[in-house]
Amino acid sequence: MNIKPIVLLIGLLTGCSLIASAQKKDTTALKQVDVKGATAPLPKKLSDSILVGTVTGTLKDSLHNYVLRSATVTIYRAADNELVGFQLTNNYGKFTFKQVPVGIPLKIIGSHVSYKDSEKKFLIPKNTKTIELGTVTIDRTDRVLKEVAIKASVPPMQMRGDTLEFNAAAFKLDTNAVIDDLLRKLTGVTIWADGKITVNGRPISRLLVDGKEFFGGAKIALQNIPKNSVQKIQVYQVDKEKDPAYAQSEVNVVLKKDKKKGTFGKIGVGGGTSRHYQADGMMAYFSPQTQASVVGAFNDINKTASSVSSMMEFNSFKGGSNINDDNHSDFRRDGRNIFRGGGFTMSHDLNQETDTRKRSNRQNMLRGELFYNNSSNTIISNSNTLTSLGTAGNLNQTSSNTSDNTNWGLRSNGSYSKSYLHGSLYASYNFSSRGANSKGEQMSNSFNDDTQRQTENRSTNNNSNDGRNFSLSLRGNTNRYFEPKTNRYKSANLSFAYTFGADDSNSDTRRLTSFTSNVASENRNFDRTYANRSNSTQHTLNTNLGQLLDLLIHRNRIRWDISVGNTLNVSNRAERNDVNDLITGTVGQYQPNTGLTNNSTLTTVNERPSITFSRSFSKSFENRFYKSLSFYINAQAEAFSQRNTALQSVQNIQRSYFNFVPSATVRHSNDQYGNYRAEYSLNYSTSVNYPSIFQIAPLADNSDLNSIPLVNLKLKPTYRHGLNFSYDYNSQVPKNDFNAELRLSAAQIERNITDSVFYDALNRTVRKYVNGKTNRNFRYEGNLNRTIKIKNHQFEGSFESGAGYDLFNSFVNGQDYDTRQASWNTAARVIYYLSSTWSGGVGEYYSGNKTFQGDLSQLTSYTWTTNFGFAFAFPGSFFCNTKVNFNNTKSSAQADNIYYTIWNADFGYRFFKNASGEIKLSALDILHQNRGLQNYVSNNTITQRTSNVLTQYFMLTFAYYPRGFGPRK
Amino acid sequence: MNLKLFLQTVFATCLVSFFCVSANGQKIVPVDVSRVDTLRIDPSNSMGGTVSDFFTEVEYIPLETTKESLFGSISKLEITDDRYLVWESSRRYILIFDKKGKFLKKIGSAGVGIVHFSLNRWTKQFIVNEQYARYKYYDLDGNLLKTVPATAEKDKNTSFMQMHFLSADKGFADNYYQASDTTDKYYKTFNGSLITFMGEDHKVYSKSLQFPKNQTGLETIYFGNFQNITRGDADSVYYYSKAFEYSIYSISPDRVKQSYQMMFPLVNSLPQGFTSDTTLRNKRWEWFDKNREVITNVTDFYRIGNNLMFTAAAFSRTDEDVLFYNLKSGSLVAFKHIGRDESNSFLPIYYSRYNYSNTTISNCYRGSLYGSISSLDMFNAFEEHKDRKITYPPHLADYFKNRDRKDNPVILRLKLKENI
Repeated sequence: MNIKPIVLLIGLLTGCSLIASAQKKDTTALKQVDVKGATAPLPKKLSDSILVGTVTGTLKDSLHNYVLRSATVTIYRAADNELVGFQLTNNYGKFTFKQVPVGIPLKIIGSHVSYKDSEKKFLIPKNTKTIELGTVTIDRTDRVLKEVAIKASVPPMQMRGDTLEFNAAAFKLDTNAVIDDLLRKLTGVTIWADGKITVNGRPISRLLVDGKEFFGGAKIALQNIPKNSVQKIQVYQVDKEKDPAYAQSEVNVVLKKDKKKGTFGKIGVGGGTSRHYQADGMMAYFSPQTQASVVGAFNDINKTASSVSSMMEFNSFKGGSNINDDNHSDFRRDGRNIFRGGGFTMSHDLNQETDTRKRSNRQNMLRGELFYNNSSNTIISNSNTLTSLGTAGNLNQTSSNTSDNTNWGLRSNGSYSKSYLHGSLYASYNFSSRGANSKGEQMSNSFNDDTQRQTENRSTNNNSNDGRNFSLSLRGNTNRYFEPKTNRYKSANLSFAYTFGADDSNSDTRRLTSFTSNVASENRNFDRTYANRSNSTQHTLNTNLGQLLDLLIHRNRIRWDISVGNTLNVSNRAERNDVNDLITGTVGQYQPNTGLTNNSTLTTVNERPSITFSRSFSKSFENRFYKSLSFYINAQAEAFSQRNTALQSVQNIQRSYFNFVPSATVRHSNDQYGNYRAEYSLNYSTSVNYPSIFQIAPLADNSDLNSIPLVNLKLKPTYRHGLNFSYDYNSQVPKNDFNAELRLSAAQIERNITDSVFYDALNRTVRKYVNGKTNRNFRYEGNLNRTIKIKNHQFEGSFESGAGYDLFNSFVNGQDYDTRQASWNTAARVIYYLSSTWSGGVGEYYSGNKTFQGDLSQLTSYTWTTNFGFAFAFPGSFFCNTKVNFNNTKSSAQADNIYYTIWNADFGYRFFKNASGEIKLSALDILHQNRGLQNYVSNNTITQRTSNVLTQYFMLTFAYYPRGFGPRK
Repeated sequence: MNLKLFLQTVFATCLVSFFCVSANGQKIVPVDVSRVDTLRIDPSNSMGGTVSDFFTEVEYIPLETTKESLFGSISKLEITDDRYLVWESSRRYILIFDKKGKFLKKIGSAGVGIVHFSLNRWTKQFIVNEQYARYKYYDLDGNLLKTVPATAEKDKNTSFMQMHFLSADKGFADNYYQASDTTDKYYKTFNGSLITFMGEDHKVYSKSLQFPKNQTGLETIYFGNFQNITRGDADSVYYYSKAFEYSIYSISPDRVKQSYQMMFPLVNSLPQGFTSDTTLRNKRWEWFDKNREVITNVTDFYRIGNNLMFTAAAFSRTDEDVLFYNLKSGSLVAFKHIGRDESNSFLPIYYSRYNYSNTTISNCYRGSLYGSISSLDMFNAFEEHKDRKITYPPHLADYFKNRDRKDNPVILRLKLKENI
């Protein structure tokens, strides 16, 4: 372990944080304000000894002799209009502010819809520390001038009908703050560590910008759009009339009139030790109608992405608190990976509606994406496998593996979505092209401690493949609605979805194998080539018609709802496999291998008609609660046919099956107003799994001696019964953010397909798929989350746990063994945030499993991880974060526990006036202890594998964030 | 005298009376518009104050809550000298309480809905119309007296109407602007009039407040629980609000007269000819949605002595929609600008939450206004003032000590001062 870099780093961190705290710019960030009571504490400049005053008074329309309830009252500093605090008046028109600065001129502004703002200047005397403003008079606006009224100040929060609005101008933040930083300041809004947003306990289902989704992710909007572009944030519930039980809340960010266009991006490069490097680029443009972005990345530190929007998230500007939410390397990934990727997206809104609330319901959008990725890696791994043969002893196998791989892909997709008043339409296409090359060498040694037989197997593999895939999808639906004009219901609840897919691929492999044992007559050598060509097409059609009784019966009184549906799936796959062996004694001359060369066509048809009966009950007591209970019973049948014709006659298989696959669900929701909301659901479902041609009649490749398959024409499909229970709880008591989830499931698989394995005297594995006994499994998952906010401090705690149990049988050397597998995991975590600058967290994670196979073997493995981290970020200045993971793993394949610690740290600085420049030093796996260690357990085998993984490196990166919002000056 | 002239006159008179009598045997009661009080109301200039400024009595009567008597909220409240009759919000049950709030009886059953509920003060009975299929007569203790099936043919479809009793055997109903499709299975023979006078057996004997043909099918827009027919200041008088005209009529046996005509500022008023404009057919709701400041109707009208109480609401709800007006002084007070004080123990006198459909006050009787407040609101107020050391009247102190916010709503009784 290299001490020097660690000492250097600790010194650097301490030094810089000292410099940073002394050098902080005057960030007059507003702290949390309690609506019905206290005042916001003043910025750090003024000492606490001044913040001791109280202000009380009553807001009244004196002319008409009545007080104003729920009016906004705001206190500002008279000199510079700095916001001190705000609240709503109570039922008696009274307001009470505490912790207001004494001895400084202040002004108070009362505002309410239909009234002119009223302003009063005052000063709290230092000796009494309190002032009673008495009646603050407010006058109604002159009706004629209402449209022209210019408000001198903007109330921070207002209730307009059923929408809660926050005016961004009332909150002063750092000039480079983004929407994420603004949301953290709003009362009632909680942003959880996993990115979920809740407002007064209610989870937010969507975050929109001007009524539309922003580049396909809330995170992209939250971390890139500057707070200064925002006019107001609206929070409201949608579809409340349709179904109060499932009312969803949405957040809509309304941008200022002159800031509806903008560009933002990032260009970054970095270089580090062990010749590691990274380069990223992103440029995005948005306007009311169009959104377009371009991204690119090139690195060798396991930072990969598969879509344009995930690359946009990695390259987001981030303001204060999220600056440390960086995409880090995937340390668990095998090998040294070089990744090149890039793409382009565009979306164009054809909707001309200007009201952003109405626009969010009427989509008319065209979208397109193009994405290219290319990665290459070299993987070196070693593994140890222990196989118990019961009375026949144990098989020990060690193997080592090297492979060089490259793969690339190009994907293009587009979609058009339109929603009408009573229906919607969606069309999309997807085209992709892919290819890969790989070269590898494998060597393995097996030893049977009972027979003393030793064997060795070496092989070299060389493969290249390519493929193209195209799919098209069309979906639509219409809704039944009531037309008051004719007093009739119109249309029907009809939906359909059609998908077409086509695939074409080629693969060429050359494999050289040599097998030796201490019985020389069993030695073998192979030089075999495989040329595989396949193409397939698939059609899926899904239709559904609901509320059948309402359509057939005039003035239907039957409370049950019936709907009918059908899913039809037809697929066809043609495959050709040419296998050739080297003619012994020649060089480069091959002859066909008649046992493996194959030409086959597989057609499968799956037809599933269904009829669903449903019934709902609801009960509501005004002001108390709303409860609903729904039942769904689905009677469904499945007809499946499989027809394979092949050159290898053993694979000429024709099967057809017919099964009933019913399901049923009960759902209950209980919304106790202002208290909590709980939902329960219980679901029973069935499904059938059909064995594939490969499982029924595999072709034995005698050059692959690790696994020689056998044919089992008697293999039958499995039938699964599943039962799932879920429970969700959300507290809705203000200031008590708490939610809990519970999931329980049990399943039973009849005629479970399992392995029957024989180990021959030469340590070769002969394998067959058979139908075993009924498999039973159980799962449990639960988690609890709680957030507590006290002034600037936020504590978030979460606890998760899970357990699983599987019971099934398998065969080893002809003997039937019952296998039991148990696994469990728990995790607990506490995260602390201090305003938006400091954060820290501590967590504990445990996962373990145990497998018993009759009295043949008992294998266990477990992992403990303790982690802690800490971070700080000063806007426009220094930021730093560090995290340590202590790991402890143990398994039956190891003699002792293995301990290793991964410690990562980042340290950086944002410069330039708009924080658009960044320099960052990253230190990864400082203690140089990362190892690619993995344990696998299956039936009677346990494998421990180590591979080459990314280990200790230091990297220095420079980044520039070009940004511009609004018209050019 | 000229015999020929005499005989011609007699013949003409007979002919005329024959036609009058044969016109379905229904008489038309003319509307008396001779003494209409025109009132100028500017809601934005209404006054406010506190409870003791305007009310002499404010009483809260908790309703006993047991498993059987628990209900959600009140859709209609009827008051007699010794009873409260509550038709609850799910419209399946009528609950009977005594004046102290003690639960007496519950009538109705879960599977059956009640569509109409009429109180006959003279016979001391109330009649419940179950699903348009039958009428059930009960006494004020909730005992079933008789059941009469409602047959459409016999009553000429009057079983669809809510009857308001004006005497022991006579009453009236309001028809809206019914469509006059004579081929419709539900065609009513009394089309063309807004008010129908009926006997206790639901047979129509006269009608009033006619409307022209071009107004048939006029869609009437009332928010939630707003009432266009309310009890007047005597047992046999009702007030009726005519849609879109801001006019209040008083209805008494065989007499219909317009009592008041409200005038609002231009920005809050409907344009001329709003009801007869055929281009607005079926589009009136959208029109109001675009003109949110315009008052739709004057509803929930009560008169107590020299004071009037009414609701003038527009789509954009304000705190000045429920108003009191004093006929002597002309002073206008907004109900929601009356703040609580010690005289009513700081308890609520109207719903505090943003609520579209409720006006709180839903009936009047013997000089008092009656409404209801939910227990949730009562207890919220109680919690809010815990540290104020308020002395509550003994029955309320008992209520706050032993009951909770999930209890039945509480009846509110208000008595206005003579001169507000």
